Amino acid sequence: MNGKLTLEIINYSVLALVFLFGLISLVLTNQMKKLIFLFLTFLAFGILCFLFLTGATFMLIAIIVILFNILLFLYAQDIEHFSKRGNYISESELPVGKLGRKKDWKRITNLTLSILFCIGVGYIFFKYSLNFFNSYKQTGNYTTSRIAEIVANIGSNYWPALILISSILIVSVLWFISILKNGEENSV
Amino acid sequence: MNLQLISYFSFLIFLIGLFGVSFYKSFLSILISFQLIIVSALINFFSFSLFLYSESVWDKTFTLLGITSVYLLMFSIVYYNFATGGKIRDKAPFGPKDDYVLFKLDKSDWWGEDTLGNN
Repeated sequence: MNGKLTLEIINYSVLALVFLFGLISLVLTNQMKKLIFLFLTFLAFGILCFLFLTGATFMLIAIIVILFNILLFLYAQDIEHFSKRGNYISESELPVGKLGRKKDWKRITNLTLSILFCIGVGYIFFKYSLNFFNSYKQTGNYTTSRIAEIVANIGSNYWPALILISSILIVSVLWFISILKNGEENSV
Repeated sequence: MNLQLISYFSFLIFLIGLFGVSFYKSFLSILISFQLIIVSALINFFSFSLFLYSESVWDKTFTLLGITSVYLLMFSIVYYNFATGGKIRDKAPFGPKDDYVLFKLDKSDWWGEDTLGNN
């Protein structure tokens, strides 16, 4: 089998996996499963970064994951320390039935408006990009990155490493603050 | 690899993110939607960079700026949650009263009396 064809099939399948995992992580209601599928989305995107995108972007996924984890950690700490526990524990994300027909009407309106909004944006994108894609003739080949290039890039380009190290430092400082706070609460 | 197909695929991921931002109620879902938007933007930028501009530096600059701006937006939302002392928090995150919906059809407040000039 042709190597280029194999690589194309792998790229498209990984792209489809990014789409599927992202969709599943949005649709699920259980928060733990949501985060697991988001992690799988990031994993698929990391593979895509390595296969399809250039080697210089290989560390971008790590930056995204770490920044998302900082946000999630801050939010979880916020809930842990300041929110009432009974408020944020719920079995389902969108409770149905308790509030009756009025709530259902609101939900349906919200869903319809969201779908219409997305269809409108999609139509505008499709309409105005079709001319460009019709006139564009693809020439040349894309190049895949090799491990040696990635290592050389990491060695020469310090910005991703600096961002990663500073993010790790921020997370560890926040972590120690929360540990100290928990320790104080436990000792009292 | 076809640039058109990749662009449409990444735009589909972007639309899912947009739908999540506009429809879902919980804060976690909205954070996940933002992640999907960032991922689609990255795919779009780099596919254009590979196919059209043969790996120029501008796309990386734009992508880094885009990621930074979106994350700054999200950090500001979370920080607002900290700093306001419960304006968002009191609406019970992750709970049944949770309310981050973009399209809301309720009676708005600005129909009421204008009390600005009376004081």
